Amino acid sequence: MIEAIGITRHYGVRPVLRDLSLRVETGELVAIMGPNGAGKTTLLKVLAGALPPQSGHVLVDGLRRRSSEETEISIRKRTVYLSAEPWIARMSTGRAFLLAVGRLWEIPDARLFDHIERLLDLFRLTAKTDTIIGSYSTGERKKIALAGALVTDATVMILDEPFAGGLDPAGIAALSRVLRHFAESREHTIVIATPVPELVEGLAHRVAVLSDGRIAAFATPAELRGGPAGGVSLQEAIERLVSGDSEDPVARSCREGAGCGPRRGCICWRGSWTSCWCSGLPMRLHWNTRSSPVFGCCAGTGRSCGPCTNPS
Amino acid sequence: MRRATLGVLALSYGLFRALGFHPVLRGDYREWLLATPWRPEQPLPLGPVHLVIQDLVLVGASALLLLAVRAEHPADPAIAFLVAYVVGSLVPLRLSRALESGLLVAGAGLVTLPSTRVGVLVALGALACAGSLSMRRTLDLLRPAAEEQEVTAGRTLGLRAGPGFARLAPVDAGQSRPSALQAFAWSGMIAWWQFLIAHALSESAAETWEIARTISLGGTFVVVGGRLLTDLAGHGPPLGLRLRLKLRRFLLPGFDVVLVTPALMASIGLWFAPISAPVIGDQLSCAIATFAVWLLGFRGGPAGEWWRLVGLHSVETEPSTSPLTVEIVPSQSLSGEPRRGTLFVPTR
Repeated sequence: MIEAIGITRHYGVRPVLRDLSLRVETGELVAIMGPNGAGKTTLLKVLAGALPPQSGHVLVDGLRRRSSEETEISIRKRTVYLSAEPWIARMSTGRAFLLAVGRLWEIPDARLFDHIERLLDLFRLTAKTDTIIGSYSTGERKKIALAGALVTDATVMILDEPFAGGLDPAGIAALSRVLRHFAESREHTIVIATPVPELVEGLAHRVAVLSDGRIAAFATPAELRGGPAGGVSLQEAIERLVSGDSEDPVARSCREGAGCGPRRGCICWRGSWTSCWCSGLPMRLHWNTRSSPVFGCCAGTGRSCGPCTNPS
Repeated sequence: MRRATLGVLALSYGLFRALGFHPVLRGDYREWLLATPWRPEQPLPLGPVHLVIQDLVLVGASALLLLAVRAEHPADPAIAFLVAYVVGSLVPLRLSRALESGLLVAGAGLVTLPSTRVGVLVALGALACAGSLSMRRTLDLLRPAAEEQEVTAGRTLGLRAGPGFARLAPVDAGQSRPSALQAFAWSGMIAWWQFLIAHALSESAAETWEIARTISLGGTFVVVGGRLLTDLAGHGPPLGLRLRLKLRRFLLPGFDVVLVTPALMASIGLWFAPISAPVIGDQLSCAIATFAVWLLGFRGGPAGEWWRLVGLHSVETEPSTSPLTVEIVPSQSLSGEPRRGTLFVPTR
């Protein structure tokens, strides 16, 4: 069980999580969803103990994070956190990396060797087992990082965008199979953050929709679809939840195509439009990778952003 | 000429005895040995790594040879052999993490104090005997259990797994701090060598103070920096300095506790010697300051485990540590030179 109680976290003076409380039961798979900048990654980091909240606290199986050395070690033994862009040892071979991670979580060698073989096979990395990770492709690096998280045998898994990062369809299918198996066995407590509703349906027991640093809804996918939205797709239901009263007026204006003057634009992030700005009102975009976004102008209204073009 | 040749031969022989066929240093030999029923209590197939009577015979014969031709310093080959053996044995001793390597280094300083060759020979002889006895212990590294322990050492695992996993693992995969005894020994030895160097290089009391003080201050700078780097690498503050001032949260006890020891170390390094020198003397005051600074550096709070697990820090698990914040504003709304970190979106 993971329980976040009254979590408040701000970067600078910008609040990201506002007095947020969330309880994930043992054996449950919960997906955290929401627009960019809603606080998904921050929430996961706080749950994982990587980030201390400015107020509030996190309980894992009833033990409070960072309360004492013994409890923290006990929590860490049963918890694994995989960030969206995990920092892995590139000079290590795939096998040596998995071996090292497994040993950090004190998995007995006999089980570890067997486990590593199965994971490498699952992610189709057997041919690259003894090659250094630095030579892997982006997707393969993501796969080895996922295998690293799975090799720990942790019963509490916190995975930030596990399906992103260049994972190929086979990798997505393999990970879905593993997560579905965990979800069905009801032995693992899993929290994942993903912006793709299609991947969550049929996988997550419940979905927490994050908007403006707060939980806008926390229900099963079916409940979300049939709730106030009434028989819509999960994506639409989430969009409507997010664009409620708390929606950024600029974003809403762009989405509805109303109020946009002659000046309006879209922000393209990794090949897909993520948000719009218009009418000379400023809007902030935050990200934390080394890549640069591509900017373009939308041809139509904010609702139907045109193809992604680089103005340069 | 004969003396020089014998000296070079003795030096080479000393190094060869210490390093030439030690299984800790020769991977192929070690692997072969581990595949046999050999145990550290048994003799080694390529010969012993500690000093034996045959060494005494060889070195004694060279001394007798020089004595027979009425050479000026017949003990020199013996001194050369002992120096080479003591220095050479530091390598396997250090690799096997034997405490004796430290004691040997500390003891080597004594050799610089006596003014006669006989005194040096006696001091070196005692040192070589101690080193020779310790060399036997290095073979314990070849016990199967010890080998396994070496492989699974936290630091090695941390390097292989990368900080992404290592920093949130239940096992401490970072730098483990030395034990109290080790810290005491190392700090004492650094202070001792500072004393010896100042003693050996200076010709006047003023010069002694200058040299000792320079070493002490330099050491303080290194150890304070090292301590801050060790504690703060991958474990950043939850709030930056600017934000603290902005939010008026000047103190964050859970995080700031890690800065107390470096501040104390810097204070001692800077002020203890000048204040106490008139009372206890230049050399002693500098040695005590150095000892205290290094001891605090090795063992001062917060304890590594506490800081890693309970400290109020943000753990870095991603390659990019500080989130890059980009503000996007229509270019018309801005005037003057573009601000750093601001990107402009083309407008229609």
